[in-house]
Amino acid sequence: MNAVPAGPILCCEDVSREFVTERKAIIGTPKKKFLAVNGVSLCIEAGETVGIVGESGSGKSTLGEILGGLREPTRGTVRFRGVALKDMDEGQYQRYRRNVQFIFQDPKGSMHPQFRIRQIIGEPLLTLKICSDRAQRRQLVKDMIDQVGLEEGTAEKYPSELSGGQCQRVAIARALIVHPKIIICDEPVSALDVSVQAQILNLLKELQQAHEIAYIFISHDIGVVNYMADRIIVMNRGSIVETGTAEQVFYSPVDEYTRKLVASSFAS
Amino acid sequence: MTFLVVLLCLLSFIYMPHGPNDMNLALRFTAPGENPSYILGTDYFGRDIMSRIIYGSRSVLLVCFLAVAIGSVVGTLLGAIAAIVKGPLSAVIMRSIDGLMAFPGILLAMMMVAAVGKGKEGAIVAISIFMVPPFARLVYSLILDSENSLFIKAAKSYGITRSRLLRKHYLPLLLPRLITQFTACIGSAIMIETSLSFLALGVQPPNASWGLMLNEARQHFLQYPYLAIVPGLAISMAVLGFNLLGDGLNDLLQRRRS
Amino acid sequence: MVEKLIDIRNLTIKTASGRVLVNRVSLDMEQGEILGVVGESGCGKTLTAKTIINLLPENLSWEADKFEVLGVDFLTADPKVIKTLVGERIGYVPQNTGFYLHPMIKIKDQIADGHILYTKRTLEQALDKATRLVTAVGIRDTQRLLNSYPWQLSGGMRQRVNIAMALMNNPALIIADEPTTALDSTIQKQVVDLFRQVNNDYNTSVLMISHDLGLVKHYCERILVLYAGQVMEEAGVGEMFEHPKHPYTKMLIKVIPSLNIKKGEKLQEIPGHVPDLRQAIAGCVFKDRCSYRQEICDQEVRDQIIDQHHIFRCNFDL
Repeated sequence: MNAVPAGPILCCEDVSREFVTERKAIIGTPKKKFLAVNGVSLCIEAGETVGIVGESGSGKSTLGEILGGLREPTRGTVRFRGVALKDMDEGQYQRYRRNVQFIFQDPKGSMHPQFRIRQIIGEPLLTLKICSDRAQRRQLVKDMIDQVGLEEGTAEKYPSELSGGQCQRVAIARALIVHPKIIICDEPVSALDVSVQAQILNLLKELQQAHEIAYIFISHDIGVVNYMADRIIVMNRGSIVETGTAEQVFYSPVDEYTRKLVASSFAS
Repeated sequence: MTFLVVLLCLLSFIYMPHGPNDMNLALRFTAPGENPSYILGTDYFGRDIMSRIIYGSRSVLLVCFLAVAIGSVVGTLLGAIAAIVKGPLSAVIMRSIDGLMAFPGILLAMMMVAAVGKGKEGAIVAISIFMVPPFARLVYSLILDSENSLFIKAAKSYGITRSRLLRKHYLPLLLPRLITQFTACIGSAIMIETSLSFLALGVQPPNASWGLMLNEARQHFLQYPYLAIVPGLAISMAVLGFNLLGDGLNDLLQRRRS
Repeated sequence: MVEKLIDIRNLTIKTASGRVLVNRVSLDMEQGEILGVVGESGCGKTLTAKTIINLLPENLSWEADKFEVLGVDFLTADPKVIKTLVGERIGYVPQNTGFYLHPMIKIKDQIADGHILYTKRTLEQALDKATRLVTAVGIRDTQRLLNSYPWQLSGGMRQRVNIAMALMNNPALIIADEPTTALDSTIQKQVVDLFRQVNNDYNTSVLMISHDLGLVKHYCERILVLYAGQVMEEAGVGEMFEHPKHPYTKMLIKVIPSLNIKKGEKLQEIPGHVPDLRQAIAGCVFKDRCSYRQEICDQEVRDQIIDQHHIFRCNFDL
């Protein structure tokens, strides 16, 4: 294998994303646009956790989707190990896809309702052409189920038979099975019951230490982000308004909006 | 009721009171119930109506099943391609489907029959073309609907190919709706088939077909109304049966999902 | 003695198939009180509230030893009387801000509906009152708001409309079911402050249902902790947070992520997950996740009463 180049794994440079909210009748040329993400630059190093905080509509989820290649930015570039997504060849793109995984807010919704857990966790192995052998795939899935603390029998169940917390564990297993370098966690615990949130957060931390994964941790919950993140980015109306370590941002916020956000948190 | 119609069709392979084309000129226009061996009576040529109904169900069901099967496969593929590929190709497909829908159905069928030729084959082609738009539109809208759901997004996040997405993710989701649509379409296909054969564009005489029987009954309708009533009843029962089956399936599948 | 606003004894809610969703829950409230009902999804907190406003889904049935709300006995009263009571004297604020507003009717045309129906006022009088209430809930441009459709408003605005609507009939009681869960954190605070203010100004009682112990801590006087359809603990806020007795409450208080948590530390977690209510559970419902579990917990569980205001359901006094 090639030597891994030093420096950040994933970067975005001055990315913006517009959505067309209204089109002219018949011809369909855009009439009104909405700038969801506006000129954001950001780099993620190996093994670190970057927290993105902001309220709904601040563009934090859209930014996550741009970084994860699920949405194309209308302006700017996303680079994985220095190569822009646009310029990647098939192999490079495959490697990028493998190394950047997602965990979504609604774990049940992120799984096909008619698939068994075994299929759900194993599917990335197939789509990313990592393992085509059936028996081997089963073994890998089994190991993964064990690693995220689920019972063995879970493999044959359907998502609807599991609780929210169990489903989020399945989602983590699915992201982890291809050994990614980065997992983008979009509000991974906000849909879960309070009594299981801590379990999932602990699990994410443990796995990070075991596998040296970087997290992009998107959340509106300041308490959770503060616990998870090394570095924090505060977003408001599509732009970054403040960045810094968790201590800097939450204990001595400079920006007006950040201050408001911290003050409104009940977790204080 | 559908079960009854299908049973009737299967029955035609093993049992018929008389040959569907056997004539018994001595017993022309026997009224139903008059002669115990001709339960539903006989027609102008002294052919047994019961046997012709049973035999006719065979051709109706064959034509309709085949036609809807072809139409649903083609329609599903077109709709799926349009929904997944997007861009100009999608626009071309969907607009031509819309165009097809705007075209008067029976006229289109007549044109197709003229092009392909009369008889079963012509009817199958005509009806199957007629069945493409509903499936294409259904699949197109359902895929666009579920496209924004999180699990499709998740699948894209681990690099799924389009064809796998369609085969493994969308198809199982769509299947219940497609089955429902299929049975409902059979109902309307029966309507078209019988109108085609009524217009003498479908199954050719002397073979038995419900529409054809209606046509033949036309001349003697006033004296012998049962000639028209019996095949008419058969048609409406079959159509109603398939529609009810469609509704029932819909309810059943919906309930299973929730 | 002051008559109680709500007095419910041993409320049990069952599905048609006999699954027990709420199991012998007792709840009482006094005039002017803010009571918090806390629990996770599926613990029965919403169902309990829905029973009070007579909106329990049709496939569920309830029974109770006593069920009195604002002096009306739900067990014996004429359904019409209950309907009038709920419409006139109880205000309901839902979680989903858009759900209770008809999407295609302007605010001004729906905000006064209930008021006109129950007080027989004219539209002008009703709108006049609506305008005052909408101003009171902190909306400056009232005319524009009243002329808007629900979808033109933000979640925070819609929730204010919901609250104003709940206040239209000067209710004695407001039931707020997760009123801030769907809102952004900066707006959450404003909305709960509003409940406080209403409570102060009109002496309206508030029954606040939430999964967020942090929120309830700041705004309620007394808290009821529900788990798997049963009351685990009931106490005043200060008592609850200083001397929690039930293991579940203790853990719940510890797991609130706060800014004070040390980064290196592992979060305190509650192991396991909420039990499946499809099977009846013998003994304590929390035993599977409890670190103090002993044999007796499989058979029975008892209610312990510390004083009139602090009750908890556990076999041990921890």
